[in-house]
Amino acid sequence: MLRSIYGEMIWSRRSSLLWYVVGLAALVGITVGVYPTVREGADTITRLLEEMPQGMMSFFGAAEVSELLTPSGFVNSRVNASVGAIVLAVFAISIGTAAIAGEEDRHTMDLILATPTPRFRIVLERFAAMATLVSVVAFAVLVVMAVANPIVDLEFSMANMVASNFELALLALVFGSLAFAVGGLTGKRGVTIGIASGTTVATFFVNGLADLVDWLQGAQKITPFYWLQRSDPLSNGLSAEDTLLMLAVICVFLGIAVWGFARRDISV
Amino acid sequence: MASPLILENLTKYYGSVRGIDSLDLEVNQGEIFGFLGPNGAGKSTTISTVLDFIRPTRGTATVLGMDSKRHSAEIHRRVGYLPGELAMYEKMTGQELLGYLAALRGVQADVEIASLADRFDLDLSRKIRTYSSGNRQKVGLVQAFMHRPQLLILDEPTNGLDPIVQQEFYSLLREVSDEGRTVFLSSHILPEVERITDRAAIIRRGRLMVVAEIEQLKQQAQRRLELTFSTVVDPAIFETLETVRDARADNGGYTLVITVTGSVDPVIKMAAQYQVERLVSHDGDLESAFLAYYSETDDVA
Repeated sequence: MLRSIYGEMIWSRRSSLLWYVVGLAALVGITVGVYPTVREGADTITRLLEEMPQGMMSFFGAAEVSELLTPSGFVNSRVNASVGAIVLAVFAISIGTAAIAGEEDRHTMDLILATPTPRFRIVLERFAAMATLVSVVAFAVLVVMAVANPIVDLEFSMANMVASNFELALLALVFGSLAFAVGGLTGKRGVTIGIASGTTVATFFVNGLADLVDWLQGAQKITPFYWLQRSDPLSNGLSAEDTLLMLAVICVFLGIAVWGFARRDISV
Repeated sequence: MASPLILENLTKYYGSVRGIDSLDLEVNQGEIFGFLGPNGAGKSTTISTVLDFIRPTRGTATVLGMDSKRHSAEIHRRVGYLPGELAMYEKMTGQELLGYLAALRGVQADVEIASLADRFDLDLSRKIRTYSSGNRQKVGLVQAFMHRPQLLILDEPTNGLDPIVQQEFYSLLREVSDEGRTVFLSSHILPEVERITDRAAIIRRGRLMVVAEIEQLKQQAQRRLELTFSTVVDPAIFETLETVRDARADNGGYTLVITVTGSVDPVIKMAAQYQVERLVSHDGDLESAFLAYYSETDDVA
């Protein structure tokens, strides 16, 4: 594995990859596993939830109580539009930070830079490694869902599950590539973690609170969580518009990372 | 063949803080060139600029005939580099790290790695984090030499090495030089540079003070001798000697602290007329060794 910058990045993250796979697979497994109970008690839960303010509902990734109790609404509320998305984004950010700023912070960048590897290639190979690692976790989530799907009668189509996990991975990569961009521009680990994770949390809350707070509604439109939520790929399949939007944002951040890293002084 | 390393007016400011200023330097092929200066003088800044880790504010560095900025990848292919502050991937074994760096260079270096590790008596099967600072330095040296580069840029290479390994390292340098390859070695240790380099430059506060043959530098170097006699000796008799810059009494007149530029021979001969109890020579410290030189030439910023 230690034959390329790409391989080294995967190698160095192999144990955290395992933990993220286990953690997210468990989250999805438990979520799907308790769904039959939720479905049986739907009436009671509906009455309870109707007492809750509307904003709380949207925080769970659903517009209506009935929506929250559908299979897709339930999985979205627990995984795709909340904890699962955040956890996967954190994983991506940790890799995106380590890729440039973390390496400079540990003062090991000069070992790599002293080899005949152009700077843009360091960024691109590490980005590819992040995309691979995030995809592996998203794929594990897909496998758990695909296995559970017939057992608990979720009635998701395979295409929709693939679409949903693909968009989930893209969402995480948006924040991971933001970490690349900040790391490429600054090389400062603290700044990179702060901006990337701060943006993740801020956009998550803006999206969640927008139904409750009018003046947030404009800002909501530019949060990746909103894109994922409005397209609801688990019910509607792949949204070309939101997929392209996220890909575009990722490309812009990646471009900034390459440009920023190529032009500046590197701390060694 | 062009000089393997040419600096022209090389200048690096960090904002308004001077890193290095207007360095002009030419290193000849096959020589072991010393780059001498106290910590913080700008040695690592110079090396980082030459290797394109940082970009000069002004001026150019030409490495093996190529511009440092435009051809950095090709330069890196043909240069071996030992970082001054050596940090490595702690979770890799020595073998894994060296294999990885060789792979990034696109070279098959297993034989060379094994032979260098053997010379330095280095166990490559252990994880980097378990290595002592000496062993870390050995790994750093192996990765600098393993692809048989035409130019070696070594920043404080003997940091943490025990004397036996230092000897092995010095003989390796001589072999490299005999093969016509070039070594650019930064150090703050004067005796080391005296001993292994052919020529040296002295840098201080980002400015090049002097570039000279080692023999010439030796004559300019300042040493401090502490002579303890069994009787009180008048320091004034030493001050008349040509190479003595200063002599003062200590220890109630029994000990004389004598600052010498160049040869200590006249001092020893003069001292031999008295009964010498103890003789201590302080010549390892560059800062004091070249203090006189600096104070004469440094236009303080």
